[in-house]
Amino acid sequence: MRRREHKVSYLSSEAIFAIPAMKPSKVILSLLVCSSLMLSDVYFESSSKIRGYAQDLFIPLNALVNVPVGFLTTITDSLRTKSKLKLSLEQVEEENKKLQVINQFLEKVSKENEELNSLWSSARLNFDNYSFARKRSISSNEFQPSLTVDIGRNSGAGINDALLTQKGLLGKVISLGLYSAEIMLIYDVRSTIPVITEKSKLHGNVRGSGLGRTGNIEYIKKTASYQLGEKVYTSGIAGVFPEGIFVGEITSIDDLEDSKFLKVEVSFLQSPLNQDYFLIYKNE
Amino acid sequence: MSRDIKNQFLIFLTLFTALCIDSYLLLGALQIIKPTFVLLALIYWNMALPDRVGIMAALSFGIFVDLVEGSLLGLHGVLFILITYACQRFFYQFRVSPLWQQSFILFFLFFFYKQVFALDFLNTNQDLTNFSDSLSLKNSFLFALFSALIWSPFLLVLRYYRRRWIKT
Repeated sequence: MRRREHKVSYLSSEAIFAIPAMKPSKVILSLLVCSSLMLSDVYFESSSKIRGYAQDLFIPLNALVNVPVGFLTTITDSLRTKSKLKLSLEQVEEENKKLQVINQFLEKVSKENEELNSLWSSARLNFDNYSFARKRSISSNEFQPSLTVDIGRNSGAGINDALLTQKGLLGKVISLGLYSAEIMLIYDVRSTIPVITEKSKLHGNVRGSGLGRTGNIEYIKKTASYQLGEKVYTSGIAGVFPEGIFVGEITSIDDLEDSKFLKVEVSFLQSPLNQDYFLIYKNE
Repeated sequence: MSRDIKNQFLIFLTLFTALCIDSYLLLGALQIIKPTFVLLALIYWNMALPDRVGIMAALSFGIFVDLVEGSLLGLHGVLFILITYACQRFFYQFRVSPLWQQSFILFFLFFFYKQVFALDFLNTNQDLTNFSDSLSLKNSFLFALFSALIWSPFLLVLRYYRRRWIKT
């Protein structure tokens, strides 16, 4: 460091030694305000009533951030050479062909299973129950990660509606605004989901342990016969989540000597980090 | 517009910009370990112009961050107030330290800041009082490291901004 940078006058033109220290009484008062907010949130969940509307207020900020990002994307796109565009077009065409083949195959399969298909349609494919949601932001709190999504003004989404990805359940709506919804993810330590396993047909509750971590099926007797690799689906008990949605896969079963229960870990395959669009399933 | 109001506006503009960066940029895998720019900006302004940024700014931006991040309402407020107080209490010593020393001190501050979020305030798990595990420690370490590394360029940018625009 150069010598002159040690001089206080170089940092500010004011006589900084004349600045009075912050009053501790003010600090204590502010801490009390924050503590009362925390207590009201812990005991009455007061923030869930206002969070959705607060997120609506932050929409202009989001739009503001997207302006330079959009500008950069446009410039990058326009700078791409014609040959690169041709190459990517060929790749997309090939991808399209693959999808067409897969679609034909799926049509064939669905015709063969018409009866099952009609049952499926009545049970799951009531399109009015689904609405699209677009990711706006995700919090950096790894133990209580909350996802904020944009919803339409008349989407009809409600509290406790399920948020789905193509891989399965991702969370539920905990706070609603006019254009925003806050989602509690299945990774959240507060989240519990009633589940049933695919093969052993055992019921349990999966609790999240934080982003990037496996969930746990809680309070399982040591005599329970779970199998490794078994898929876990929502059981529909408690009526919050619809029945039969994929939640995860059992990746480890530990019988710990110092515990009364089995430790059953469930790995979630769906992640909010690399996906932008989701489906909200409206609870009936 | 009087000079004081203009200065205040310019300071709050940087804090709002930092809030935007925190909330709406880098939404991928880096989300957990990316630095909290609001906090960095708050520390800078507390160090550079302690009479312009105070408890009310820390409290209000703490609550903003709580609302945007979905964390327990008031938690960021408490942390921001404590850090603001510490910065103002020790800013005479802190601002004249070399940048690497400042980064070193901030590394520990940010490490403990991140670890606070592992505490189980809602008592979701009856067997544990906090959720801290090896992954959480690793994430906190990386978060603190990135924040400490970014402190020097961040300070230089804000210092330039202050000298160019904020006339005291």
